[in-house]
Amino acid sequence: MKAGARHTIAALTFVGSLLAYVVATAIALILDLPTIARIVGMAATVVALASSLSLLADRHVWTIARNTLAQALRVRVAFVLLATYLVLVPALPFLIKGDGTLRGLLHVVIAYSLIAAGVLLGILTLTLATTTLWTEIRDKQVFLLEAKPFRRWQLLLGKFLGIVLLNAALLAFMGVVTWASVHHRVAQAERAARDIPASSEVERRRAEKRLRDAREQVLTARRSLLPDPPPESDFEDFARGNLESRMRQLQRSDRMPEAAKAAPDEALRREIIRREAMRQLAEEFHKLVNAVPPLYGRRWQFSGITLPRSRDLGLTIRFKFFSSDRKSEDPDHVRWEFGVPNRTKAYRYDDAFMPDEVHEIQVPADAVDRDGVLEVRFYNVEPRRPTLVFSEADSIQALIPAGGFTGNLARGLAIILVEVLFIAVLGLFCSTFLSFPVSPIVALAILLLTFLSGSLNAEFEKGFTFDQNQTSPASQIAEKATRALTKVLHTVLPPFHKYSPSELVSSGEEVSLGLVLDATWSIALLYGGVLMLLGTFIFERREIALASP
Amino acid sequence: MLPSTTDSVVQTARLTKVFRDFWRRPKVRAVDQLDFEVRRGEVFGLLGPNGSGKSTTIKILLGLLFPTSGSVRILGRPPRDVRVKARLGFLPEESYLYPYLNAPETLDFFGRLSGLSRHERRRRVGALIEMVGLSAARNRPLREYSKGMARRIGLAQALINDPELLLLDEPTTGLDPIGAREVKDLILELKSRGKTILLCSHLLAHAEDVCDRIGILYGGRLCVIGPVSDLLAKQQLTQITLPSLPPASFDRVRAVLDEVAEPGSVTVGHPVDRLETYFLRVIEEARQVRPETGGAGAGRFEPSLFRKLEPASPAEVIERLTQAAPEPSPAAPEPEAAPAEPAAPAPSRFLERLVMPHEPPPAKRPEAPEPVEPPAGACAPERRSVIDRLVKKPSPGPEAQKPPSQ
Repeated sequence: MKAGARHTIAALTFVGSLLAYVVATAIALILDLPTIARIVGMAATVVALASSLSLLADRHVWTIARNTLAQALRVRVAFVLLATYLVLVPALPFLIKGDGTLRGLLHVVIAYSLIAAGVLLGILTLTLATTTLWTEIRDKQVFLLEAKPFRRWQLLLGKFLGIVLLNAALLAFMGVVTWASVHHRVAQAERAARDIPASSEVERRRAEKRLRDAREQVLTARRSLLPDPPPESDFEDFARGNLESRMRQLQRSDRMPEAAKAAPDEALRREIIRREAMRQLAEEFHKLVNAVPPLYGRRWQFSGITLPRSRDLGLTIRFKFFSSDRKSEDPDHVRWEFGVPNRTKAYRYDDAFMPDEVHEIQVPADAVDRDGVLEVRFYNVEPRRPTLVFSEADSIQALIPAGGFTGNLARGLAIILVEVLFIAVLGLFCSTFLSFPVSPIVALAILLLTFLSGSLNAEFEKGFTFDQNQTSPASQIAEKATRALTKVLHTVLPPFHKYSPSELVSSGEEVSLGLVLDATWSIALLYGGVLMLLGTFIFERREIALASP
Repeated sequence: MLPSTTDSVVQTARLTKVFRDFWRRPKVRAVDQLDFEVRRGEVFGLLGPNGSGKSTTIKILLGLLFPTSGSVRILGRPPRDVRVKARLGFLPEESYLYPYLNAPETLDFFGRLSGLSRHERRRRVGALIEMVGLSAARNRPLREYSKGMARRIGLAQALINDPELLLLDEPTTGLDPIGAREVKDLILELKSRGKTILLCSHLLAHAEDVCDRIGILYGGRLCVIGPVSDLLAKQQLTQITLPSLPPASFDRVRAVLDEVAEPGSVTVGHPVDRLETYFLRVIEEARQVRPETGGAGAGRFEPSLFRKLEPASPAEVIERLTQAAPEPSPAAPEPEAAPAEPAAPAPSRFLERLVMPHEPPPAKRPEAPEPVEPPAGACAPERRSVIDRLVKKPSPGPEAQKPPSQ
């Protein structure tokens, strides 16, 4: 088959897979068929990936990529960047203090190494992507390229591939530096533990525990599992018992909702009151099940736990509670019990924990029954102490071992590469129709909006407002416009906020292959692909020899 | 539209380019209703002062600019067709090269983009560097090259794919007289191998030396187009060159001339060398004493690098005449140099008699009005005879014309 026909088929397949995905997702949303959406999504990802790789494997694309790589290497930008990284990574723990434990230190080292890698590569990529094409147009090498038998999309893809290859090489190097730096610190701690004299047994045990904590909580990859929601029947029982009395309370004129007062007939008024009563009861039920007063307990069930073959490797329960006494600075004594009664071994764990901090407890594997169920019970054991509250959705989760640190680090780096890849496409896209320095400024603005729109949208959804009183109509309009704009940007821009590899890897949580694929699809293929197609369309129609486009 | 000749390699019809400002208002009419064609195997010079539209025309021919109106065909296709680019070589007015690459890397890069195999690249890169006289500087990055050296490597990249059509924008600018002479010789050698060359220049002496036909642009319009010899010949004057005569013989000749010519119309003197010829002779003598130094050396044409293109065979001519859309001859490079003498198969010769019953016209080549001594290293007589043998097109003599717009 001729190269031109092959390229056309690959490009059409790529566009087709994007469209198939969008259409299938829309249909699945309307008909509520999430499984179909997932299957189509996976298939579309694979097809889009294969077709884009076949376009990237083109000989002309590789030639341009090699030249772009040579260009970047010979202007020594990459070396400056690596030097910065090599200085930064060993210096980080001194700049930012952890909690004094090895676990805390490793957490900081990993988190900030990965953040530094992402930021440095992001800056490099944005600079390279917005200048590489522009300099060739400015210095007119593109005149010579244009006289050679290849198309402009190959030039654009070649530039992209060159930047991605450079980033992949740099990221691999940074990954090795991070990995080595982490293992160096663990080896240091091991040596220190060995050097403790035999006389100080307590000190030695403490050092060993610190090492174990670091290995089990940071140098690992654990899948997070949330507890099963409380059964619907619990709330129904609670509502049945309390609805009548609550409705009676609300029918008193001083507590009656405004909408009910204005209701034209009795039936409607009663319905409004019933709904308000149910809303209040749901809120109370939520508080009730999450609040554990002194001498009370709370029970959770985790299902679907699959532990690795070596059953001795247990799982971890991570939790965080708040104290109803906000001023309390003392730890709270609690009891944890793990295991399914009559089916597994039961374990008990009594200790004191500081409120408002994240804690982890190791649970042996034999506390989980054969069906993969673990029951967890929590008791607030001290009388005359504050109520303890598990307020957030993920305030308790089971972390199940799913792999090692090295693989997790590699997958985390892969997500960073995917993010950088989008930045490369964005930069190139901007430089297809803008010149320097407009293109980097526009690209940076889009990138900042991408990061901001995610967090701003989350804040708006939590009920954040600029103006609490909403006094003037102008401020109301401004707020509405901002909300609408945020919503649009949040929908239109790539979902960077969904992926935080540095956070996951540094807290020993699994970066699953599914997550990497998901990021590849939604950031690189969907957004990157559409932007690349758009950039190619513009670039193909551009009169390159015009002084400015 | 211009009547298309069967063998036109470049053809423009009412080509117009208007540059607009930010608000899309017309600013400059850089090319205006341009009609011209470049025929297979000829050297065509597009001449004109600065800002006359030469470079804009070249940019349109390369697809770097799009015409506002009118049409362009190169090798029978639109300019941005990759099949055209595969048969094209381009030397821009300045050498827009990658400063961080050295000569072999540069040529290898452009060879890859031209789709040459690794073996072919290796063979051509080394030979081209030698041919343009850059062997001594091959490992230096191009940022260290002088302007002339950069021109030479620029020329080498234009030739990397053994193109059928060469677009040369100011090919001799920045070169010393020796380099300029080499480039002119190279152009003639390439022409002798059947290549078509379109060159833009405002160095008129250089264009005069190599061009078969020229077109002169002014303000984006074509003022004149035709064969150089026809345009420059002073038909009303005759020049006779004689060896130095003894005074008696001279007086006799003078008496005869005064008798036949109008009084005062005869001038007598010694012919002078052109400065270029004189300069080249001095340098050649110096070279005998002190051979090559650093930088660019003397280049030598390497015939094995360039396929010899057959002039269109009569069979092809008939085929083109009978087809609606003419298809140019295939661009696939031949493995090795073609034989020196085009060996046309017998049926073609038969057809040739059928379609060209008249005597083949004399070979056209630039003939300066004043005879000059052939400089050292210039096209030797035997090479000229190769050129003569190859060029079989009808003489464009009577066709010197002015475009209808003028």
